[in-house]
Amino acid sequence: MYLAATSSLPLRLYQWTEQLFTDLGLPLWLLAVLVATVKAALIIGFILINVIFLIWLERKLGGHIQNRLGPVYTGPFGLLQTVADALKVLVKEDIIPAAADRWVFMAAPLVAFVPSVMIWLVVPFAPGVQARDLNIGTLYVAAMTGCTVPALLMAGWSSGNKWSLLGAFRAGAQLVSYEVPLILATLAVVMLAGSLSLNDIIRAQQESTWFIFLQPLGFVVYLISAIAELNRTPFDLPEAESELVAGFNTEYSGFRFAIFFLTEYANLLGSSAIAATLFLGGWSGPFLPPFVWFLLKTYLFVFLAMWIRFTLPRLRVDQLMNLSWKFLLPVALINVLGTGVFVAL
Amino acid sequence: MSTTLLVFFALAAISLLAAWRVVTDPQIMHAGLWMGLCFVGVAGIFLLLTAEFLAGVQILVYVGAITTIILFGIMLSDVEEVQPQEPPFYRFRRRFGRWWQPALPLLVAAAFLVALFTIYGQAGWSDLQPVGPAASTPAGLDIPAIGHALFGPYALPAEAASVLLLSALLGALVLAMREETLRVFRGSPGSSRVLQPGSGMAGREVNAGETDHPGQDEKKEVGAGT
Repeated sequence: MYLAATSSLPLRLYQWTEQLFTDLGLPLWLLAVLVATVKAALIIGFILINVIFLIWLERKLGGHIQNRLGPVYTGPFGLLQTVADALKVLVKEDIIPAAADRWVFMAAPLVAFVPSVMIWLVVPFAPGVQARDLNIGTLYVAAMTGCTVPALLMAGWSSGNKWSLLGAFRAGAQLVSYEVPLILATLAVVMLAGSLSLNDIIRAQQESTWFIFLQPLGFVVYLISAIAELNRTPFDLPEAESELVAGFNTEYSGFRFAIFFLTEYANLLGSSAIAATLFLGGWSGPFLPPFVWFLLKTYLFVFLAMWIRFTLPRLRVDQLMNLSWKFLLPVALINVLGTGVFVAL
Repeated sequence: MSTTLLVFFALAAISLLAAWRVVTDPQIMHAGLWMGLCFVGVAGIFLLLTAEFLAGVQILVYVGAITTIILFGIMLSDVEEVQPQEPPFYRFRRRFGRWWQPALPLLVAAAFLVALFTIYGQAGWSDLQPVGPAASTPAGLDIPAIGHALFGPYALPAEAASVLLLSALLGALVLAMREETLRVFRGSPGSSRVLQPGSGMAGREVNAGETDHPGQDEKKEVGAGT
């Protein structure tokens, strides 16, 4: 069981529980189920707490960038504003439009939410603190990111609304287009590290240097593609409120809308954590504890994404496609080629 | 019964049910979604065989890309446009249709089964080693080995497959071109006309003059169209 190789407290806790199970004569598969449940609960708890903070941060940052104050009334510095909003949205009615395709409509938010949580299976929080060190780590992350697209298509198509449908079209085209440079940028990092495992990538960065210095081009491609994958401004065409009301989630209300909202921020956090791992050395760093480094680096990317959101205007659809296929893809391919030559030398 | 076997049966049941719904669901969009679920089930079976890399690729390519593209294609295509005026082999079917229609697929399936058994019989089922958690290396499936195989002995088949995909891509491009675009390439008059947006979308019609919520009639029409 891969739980804690170096950090001693979780390991001791696990050994103590194992001893308890053998003493009580309980089957070991129950222990495996228990451990998996605890890990999942910890990860979901981490995501929920961070998302609540992220939404507040986004509004506060946006406020200050636009010379406003952002939320101020609920709690100190308006910190409890998100909590209040979440409670409000949870008690709202869950409306399913008459023209909607009922089952697909109801399932879409869940299908979108699951991959955003599953990404965290391989994220290394600190040395040894990782739900599972898959040896296909980066491939797994790419696969899970790709699973978001069918969910958005489901949401937009099943709503029975033209704005939703158009939003889904845009989401599908955009996400499929930007996945290619995103994966190619990741591939260059994998080539440098010689492994798909995120732990090995961190180790490789400890041995040489942060990959942002070896892969500046790859980093820029990754950053742009990741922001496009997250549907954030300047790439928020799938939910462009000035033309499409709210895109694919126009018809959603109450809890299901909250799930979409949660997914969006969970994906932002997940992408930032992966970017920090791939390019900034993950949890490694001097003086501070590894987990603090991990959070700092993750929030650096979060801040960057928010800064970009409140600085740049939205692109047009044709500009969006041109940027991906005619600029990012060639640059990413050249980057992979250059990295290949660099590794071979 | 071991846990692995139980999980296998659950995954197999999901995959089979989804695969069955793909061919029986009257709503083509639902069929596409069932197909995605079927792929996820197969990926689970790969994971059970500790073929993690294959499972990842299965999800990435089949669920993330192929299902998406197919759903996208369904949403973009006009159902009426897709319906052929006269089905292929129309005269042949009209003459032999009654008894030939169920017999032909059965015949093809049986021939395929025989072929499969012949091929696997040569290799011998007993030669295949069970791939369990114990049999695999600690690092799981050997990813460098897959890379060496793809760029070494299997380089030619892999390249052939990519050329096939590329030609399919180009073919789709040509098919998707409308008359106006083709005229641009031919340089005929009237080439400066702006492209009309897609003529229709399966499932959900998007026209400026229509109400936001297409009524029941349209839904029925889609069901009938598929």
